Amino acid sequence: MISIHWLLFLSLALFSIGVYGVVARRNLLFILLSLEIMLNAVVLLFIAGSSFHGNPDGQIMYLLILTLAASEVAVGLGLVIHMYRQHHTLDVDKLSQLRG
Amino acid sequence: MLTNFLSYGVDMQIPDSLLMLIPLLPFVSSLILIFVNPPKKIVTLLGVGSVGCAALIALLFNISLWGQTDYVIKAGFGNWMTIDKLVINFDFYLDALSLVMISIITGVGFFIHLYSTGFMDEDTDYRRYFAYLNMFVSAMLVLVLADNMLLLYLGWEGVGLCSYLLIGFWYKNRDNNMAANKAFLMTRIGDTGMAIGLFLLFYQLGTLNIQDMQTQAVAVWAPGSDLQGNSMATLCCLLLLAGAVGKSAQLPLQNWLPDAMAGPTPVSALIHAATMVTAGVYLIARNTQLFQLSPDAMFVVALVGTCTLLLAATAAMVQNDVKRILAYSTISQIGYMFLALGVGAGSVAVFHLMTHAFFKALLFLSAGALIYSVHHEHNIFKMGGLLKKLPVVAASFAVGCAALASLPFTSGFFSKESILEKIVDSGHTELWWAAVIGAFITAFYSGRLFFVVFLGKMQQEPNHTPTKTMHIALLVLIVPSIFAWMQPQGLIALMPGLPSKGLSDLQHWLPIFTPIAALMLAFGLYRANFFGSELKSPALQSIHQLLKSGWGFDFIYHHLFVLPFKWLCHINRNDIIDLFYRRLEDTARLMHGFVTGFQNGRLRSYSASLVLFCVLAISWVVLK
Amino acid sequence: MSLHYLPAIVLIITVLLSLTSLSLKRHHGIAYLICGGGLLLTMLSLFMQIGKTGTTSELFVFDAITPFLSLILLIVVSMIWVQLYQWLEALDERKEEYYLLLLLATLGSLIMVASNHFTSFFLGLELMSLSFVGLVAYSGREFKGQEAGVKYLILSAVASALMLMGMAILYLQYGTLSFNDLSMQGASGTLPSWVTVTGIIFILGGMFFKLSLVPCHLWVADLFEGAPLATSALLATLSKLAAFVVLWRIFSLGEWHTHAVIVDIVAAVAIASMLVGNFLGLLQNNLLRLLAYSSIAHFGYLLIILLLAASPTTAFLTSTFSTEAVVFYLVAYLFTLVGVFSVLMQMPQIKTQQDLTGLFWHKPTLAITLALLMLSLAGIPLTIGFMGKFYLVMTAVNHQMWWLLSALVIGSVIGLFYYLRVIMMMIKAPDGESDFSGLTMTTNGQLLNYLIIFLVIGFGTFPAAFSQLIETLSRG
Repeated sequence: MISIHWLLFLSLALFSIGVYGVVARRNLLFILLSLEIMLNAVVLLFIAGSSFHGNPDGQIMYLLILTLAASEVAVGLGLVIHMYRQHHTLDVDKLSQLRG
Repeated sequence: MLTNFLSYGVDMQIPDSLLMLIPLLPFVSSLILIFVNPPKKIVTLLGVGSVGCAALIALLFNISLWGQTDYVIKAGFGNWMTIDKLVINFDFYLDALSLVMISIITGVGFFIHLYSTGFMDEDTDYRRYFAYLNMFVSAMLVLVLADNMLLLYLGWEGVGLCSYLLIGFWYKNRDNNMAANKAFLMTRIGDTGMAIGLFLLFYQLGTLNIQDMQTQAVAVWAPGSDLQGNSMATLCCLLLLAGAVGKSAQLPLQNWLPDAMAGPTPVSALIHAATMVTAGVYLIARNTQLFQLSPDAMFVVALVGTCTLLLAATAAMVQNDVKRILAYSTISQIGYMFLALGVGAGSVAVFHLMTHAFFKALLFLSAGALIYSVHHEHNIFKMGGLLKKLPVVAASFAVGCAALASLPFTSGFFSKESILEKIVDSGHTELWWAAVIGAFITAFYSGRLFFVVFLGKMQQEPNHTPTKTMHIALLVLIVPSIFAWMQPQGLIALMPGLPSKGLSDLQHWLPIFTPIAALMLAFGLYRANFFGSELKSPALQSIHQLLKSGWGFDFIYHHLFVLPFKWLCHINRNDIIDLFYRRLEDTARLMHGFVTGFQNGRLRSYSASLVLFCVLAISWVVLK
Repeated sequence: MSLHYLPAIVLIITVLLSLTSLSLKRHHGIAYLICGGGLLLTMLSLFMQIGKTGTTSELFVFDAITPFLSLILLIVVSMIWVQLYQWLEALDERKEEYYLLLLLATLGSLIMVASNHFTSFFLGLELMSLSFVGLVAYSGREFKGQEAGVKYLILSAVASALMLMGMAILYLQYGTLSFNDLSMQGASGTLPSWVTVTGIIFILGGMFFKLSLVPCHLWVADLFEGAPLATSALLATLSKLAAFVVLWRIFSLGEWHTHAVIVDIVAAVAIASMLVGNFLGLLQNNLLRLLAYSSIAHFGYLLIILLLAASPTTAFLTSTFSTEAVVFYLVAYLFTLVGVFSVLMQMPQIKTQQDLTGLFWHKPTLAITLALLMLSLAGIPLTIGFMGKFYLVMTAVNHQMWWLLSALVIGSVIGLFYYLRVIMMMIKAPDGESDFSGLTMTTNGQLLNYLIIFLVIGFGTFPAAFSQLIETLSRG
């Protein structure tokens, strides 16, 4: 049996990779991908917790998060298309009209 | 018929909640006048009618409580705020004292409103005038009806505000604005003291309800308890006195009142003679039990009254401006009330307040009619011989002056007589002599005023005749100025005075003959053309000058406070405190620039900020 | 099915109804009326619950205060809805979907306010957030609107991910997702206690994002400026109130104040928010950004409430007093803010402080309303904002939180500067440059203005009427 600590660290590591992607990548698509990684890290932890404690709450949470991820991507991709049509680029650093 | 009516009146029950309407009516009318611009007739109807209705309700209360001495009526809008121990209700409390006050405010107020419709008829700001005046009446009513000190303070500041607005009513003239500022600032000094007094009282007694405060105060600071308690009572009383002194224009905060005459004359009559300036008297009378716990504070009250009455009376002797004469005489008469309060005779103080409200309002209104008639002239030496031209005005002026001089069988005579009697009862002989001298001077300047204005050669032909409404107001006010002989029974029950000691013959007859002698002296000097002529000796001239400037208090304050303050400001233009504030400003600017720098509009730095928070917080946890 | 779920069900039915009518026939008026009717019915069903005994289920809690808060939410939404028709007519977009998204966001916030479990909280939060993305990017053809949409989508996703991480850690620790069990299991977790604290920090991070507290505040001004006005109004009120209520509930149920570090962090964030928010507003010219910055500061003040449970002394207060204080402050602030937004919605062309120059001389009612609201935000006596702040300060004084108080005082003083500047701009003599000719006052708007004045001054002068209501409600 793998210790619960290892799972925690794995999940946190995955999460950090996702965070790094969100902060460092400029392409909106990649940012969305990184967000998926972050969410998956969380899901992993929920499943681990569910099996560790032997109750189904975590698995239900997994389903809900999956739904969230899907809808987020749906909305996100809509915005991606919109942005590409107007700016012909997906570089989020170009989106800095609102400031001050 | 009359007896029937009266006996019916005694039985008549009117609902207590009607009490709430009294301040509410003028308030609502004022709000309407502020926010809506109705035609002039409606303005008149609202402005005068609301106060008239309030006066009618007050009259109803008077009738229903006729002959009763021990009554209390409470009505209210319920809880205003509750913060822990501080429970403030928006409640009104009517007893004999407040009944007298509301009768004066609404009754005299109504006639002054009526008079104003004539006096202000040609003014372009007719609506604004009535809006302010109604607001004043409502605030004043809240002041006298309040059942707790906070509500009283609300009214107190409300009348202060309205007084400010009305003194500076003709705001296009800079002097009027300065006068308004002066009045506002001087009373503010007193109000600050009063506010501190209220905090202290709440801290000490744990309540601001006026009746509870009295019982609490008696319980906590009862005579015979330890010394500290008594000194605390004295302190509280003196702080309240500071507020009263400021509002009632007593020494040392008296010199705003003569300047306050810059406002329209009916305003001077209502605010600066009949009602607002007597709020200080009301405040002390309301807290009688509290003040009685501190003999020292009482003596200070008496002393303030005595000094003020002498000082203002002497200043009134030499003024040229008819309104300034009346202003000084108001200060002096309020001095009498303070003196009466100080010797523990609250009921006669309120009695004098009442008679004074009648005859001084009458005097001011007739002065207003006078000024209205003679090209807005204020200088009495440019009038003269107006007896035949303005008979009604002259008659009302004569009655007013007679009452002010306390000639026998006028209302002023009875109230002043009772004050003098009470002073004797209290055993302060020196104060009695001062009061008698004051009475002499009062009669002297009343005579001077009347003779110079109405007798002799006519200097100026009147170009206006006062309107009908003005005449009505004058004629009505003549009646109580003469016939208000009896002090309301309820007052005596509320504020029982000292036991009477009986008067010696001198003490009995001197006050009666003093005004007559003074009037005769004034007439003699008038015949000798003494008034208005150049004084020969330089010493007399300088005394004249000193008196005319109201004992030079403006000068003293200017040199004592204003100039040093200006000097301090000047030398401190670049001082450390200022530097501190400049640095503060610079720092704020700098910080603004710094924090705005983070708002760079980049999404990635924004998400980084979220991560940053977690990282910082976790590292804090780890480091701890 | 108990009565407590009725409001949510009514809202869902309204959503479905407006979706159906939308797919059958597009008609702005119908959509407007369906939305309004739905909101009204929801309010009525909430009204029935006030004063009833509450219940607590696994997922939701319906105590004394929940229906009251939900009602406040709905009143706020309705006040925005009143202006919506006029405002959308002027907008060059399809109009009907706005109502749909609005209703969904409201539903999400209702779920959040009543949630008692991480799953219900999460569902409500995401329902609200995703609807908000649509609302923010509603006029996506404008660059600004689009930029705001992208920013909100990504940032709220990051915040959700952070919160989910926190939930996952707490779940791993305690094996439960219910708020009630967070405290019951106490420190007896699977993992060392610092892991719990880390989880809490993740959740706080996400919450602070929603509440736009320093340092997660950077987005809020951009959003307010870029998003359509009505959306900004909803974002400032609906989303923040819901988030705050949940945070408040988790904080007290989970007894997070027992972790000293968490208390320190929250205090630091509160102080930083009060100061930074006001500093940011200081010379800000754009009115919407100004509001955003002022909201940072205001929620900084509110954080004081979270810390009350942590402090040892309760001098002479009943335990309900802090509830009273927090609810009073929240309601005061929300009404004021929604008032400001509805005034701004009545004059859509005004964006900066310069545009306001001389407004008083053209549209006095509007200017007076806005001036009163600014005074209320600044916390000047006789306004509702003052009373809110007063209760807050009093609570803080009783708990002897001197550091927070001094930050509050300094922040308020700085804040006064920019609030008063707005008023000064309005009463300046018109310079001829600002053009108010396009401003037409609708009856709706006028009535709303009078209502706002009444609320702001009325409750400011007679706070007892309101605080007693809250007191009876919070006693249950």
